[in-house]
Amino acid sequence: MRQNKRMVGIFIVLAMIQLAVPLYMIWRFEDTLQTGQPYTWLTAPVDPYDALRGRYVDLRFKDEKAPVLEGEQLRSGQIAYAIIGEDEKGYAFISGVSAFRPEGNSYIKVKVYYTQGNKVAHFTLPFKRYYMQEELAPAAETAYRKNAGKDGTVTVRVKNGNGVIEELYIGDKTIYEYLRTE
Amino acid sequence: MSQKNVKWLYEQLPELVEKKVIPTESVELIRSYYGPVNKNLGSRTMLMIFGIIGVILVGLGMILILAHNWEKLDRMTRTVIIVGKLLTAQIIAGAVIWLKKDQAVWTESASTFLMLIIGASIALIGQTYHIADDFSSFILTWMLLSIPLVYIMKVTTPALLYLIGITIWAISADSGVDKHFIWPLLGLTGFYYWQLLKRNRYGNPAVLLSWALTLCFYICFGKAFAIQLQSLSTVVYATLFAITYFIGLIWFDDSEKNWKKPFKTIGVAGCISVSFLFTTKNVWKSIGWGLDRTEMAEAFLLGSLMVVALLLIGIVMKKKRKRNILFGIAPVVVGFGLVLLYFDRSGINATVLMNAYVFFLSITLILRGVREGSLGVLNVGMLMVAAMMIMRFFDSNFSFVVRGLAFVVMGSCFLVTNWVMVRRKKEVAK
Repeated sequence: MRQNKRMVGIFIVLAMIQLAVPLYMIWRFEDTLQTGQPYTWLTAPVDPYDALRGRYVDLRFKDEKAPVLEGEQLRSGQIAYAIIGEDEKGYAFISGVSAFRPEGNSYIKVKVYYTQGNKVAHFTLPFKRYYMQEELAPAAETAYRKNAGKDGTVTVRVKNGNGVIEELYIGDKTIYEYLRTE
Repeated sequence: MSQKNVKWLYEQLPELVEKKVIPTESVELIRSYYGPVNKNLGSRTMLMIFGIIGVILVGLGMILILAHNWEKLDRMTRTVIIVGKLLTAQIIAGAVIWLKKDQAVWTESASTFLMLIIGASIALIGQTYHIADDFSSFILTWMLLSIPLVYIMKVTTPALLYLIGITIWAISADSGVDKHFIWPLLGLTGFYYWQLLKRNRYGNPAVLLSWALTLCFYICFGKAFAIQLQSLSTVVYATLFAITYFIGLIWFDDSEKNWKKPFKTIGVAGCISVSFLFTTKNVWKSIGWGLDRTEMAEAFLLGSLMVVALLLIGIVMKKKRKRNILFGIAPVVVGFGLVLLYFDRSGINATVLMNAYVFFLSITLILRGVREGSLGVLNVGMLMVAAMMIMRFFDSNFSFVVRGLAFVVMGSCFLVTNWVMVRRKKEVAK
C-alpha cells in the first residue's frame, strides 16, 4: 500500500508537469497576442492538410530571403534572427538576418535553410499556417484565387522573437467575414 | 512450456497412468512442477488487446473531431477543452494506479488513453495559435511527457508508441538537431525493457518491444549516421543484421515459435535480403565508383561493427553449433567482395563470389531440410534458389551462355535434391 501511495504521488507530479507544459505554451502564445508588436504581411493562401491538427491554409510569403548582416557568418540549419522592417505602405518585410539577438522587439526567430555565399540567407517565416474549419480552408483558397487583384494579408503579433498569427485578411475583410459575404 | 502444452500434458496424464507408462505418484509431481493451468489467460489477453485497440480508436477519434476546427470555439473554450480532457484522462489513470494496479487491461488502456490525450492537447494548441513547422518538436514534447507513464504504470503499449514516436521524430527532425540525441531518447525505454527481459524474455510484452526496438533502431541508425553512411551503407547494414542475428542466436533462441525470436528472425531476413542485393553486378559497380572517396568515418564505423560481429561469432562458435554462423557471415563475405572489388572495379569477381555464397546458403538449407525432414527449412532453401534464378534471368549483365550454364547447374541440383528426398522418404516408409 505504501508503494502504491508513492506511485500515486509520483503520478501526481507527472500529471502536473503534463498540465503545466500545455498551459505554459498557451500562456506564451496569449502573451504574444496580447502584448506583442503588430505587423501586417502580404501573403498568398494555399490549402493543405495536417492529419492531427486539421486543415489549414498555407501562407506563402514573398521573398523569404534577406541579406546577412555584415561581418556575420550563418550556416544552414542554424537558428537566426530576422529583423523586421516596414515599407512605405506599412507592410512588414525582413530587412536583414543576424546570428545574434538584436535589441528591441522587431525581430523574429527563423531557421536558415541555406545562404548564398554568406551574403543572402534563405529561410521560412515561422507563421506560415492558418488553421481553419475543415470545409472552409479550401473555400478560402478558392476565394483568394478568384480575387487575384486583391491582396491577401496576415496580421502577426511579435514578441521576444516569437510570432503568432492574429488574423488572415482578403482585401480589408477577415477571411471568415469574406467567406460569409461570398 | 506454454499454457497450451501444459493443458495438453494434463489431459494425457490419466491415460498414461492407466497404461502404466508413469506411476500414479508422478502425476502429482508433474502437476506441482508445472502448476495450475490458467484457463482465463487467453480471454484476458483478448480483453486487453481489444481494450487497447478501443482506447486507441477513441483517442484518435477525439483528435480527428477536434481537427475539424470548430469556428465557434473561441480561445478560452479551447483552453477549457484542453485542460478538461487532460484532467479527465489523468484522473482515470490515477484511479487505475490507486485501485487496480495489477490488472494489465486497466493500466495499459488508461495509460494509452492518457498518452493519446496529451498528443491531442498539444495538437489543439498548435491549431489554435496557428503554429507551423514544429512537427518534430511537437512529437518530441508529446513523447517526453508520456514516457514516465511507462515506469509509473509499468505498461508496454505506451513504450511501443514512444518508440514509434521517437523514430518518427528522428525521421522528421531537421539537420539543425544533433541526430545522436536519438540514442539517449531510445535509451529511456531501456530500463523498462531490461526489467521485462529479466522477468520473461519470451513473454508477449518483451517480444513485442524487441520487435519494435530492433526495427526502430535500424531506422534511427540510418538517420543518426546519415552523413557518414555513403558508399558502404549496404555493407554497414549487412553487419548490423549479422550482429542482430548473433544476439538472437546467443541470448534469445530458446522459444519454439519464430515470432518470439525477433532478433534471429529479423537478422536472418536482413542478411538474406542484403546478400541477394549483392548478387547483382550493378550494386557492386556503384560501390566501386565511390570506393576511392570513402571517408575515414564510414570505414571506421564499418570496422567497429565488424569487430563486434566477429566477437559475437566467437561466442557463437563456443556456445552453439558452427553451422549457425553461416547466415551471419554475410558481411564477412561482402567484406571479401570489397577486397576483390578494390582490385577489379568491374565488380564481376565480387558478384560471382556473392552468387556462390547465396547458392551455397540455399543448398545448405535444402540439405538441412532434407536431413531433418523439415519442410519449412527445405522450402526456404528452394525459394532462395528460385529467387536467384529469376533474378539472374533478368540480369542482362551475364552472357546468355553463362546464364544458360547457371540454369542447367541449378536445374540439375533441383533434380538431385528431389531424387534424394524421394529416396529418403521411401526408406523411412519401409
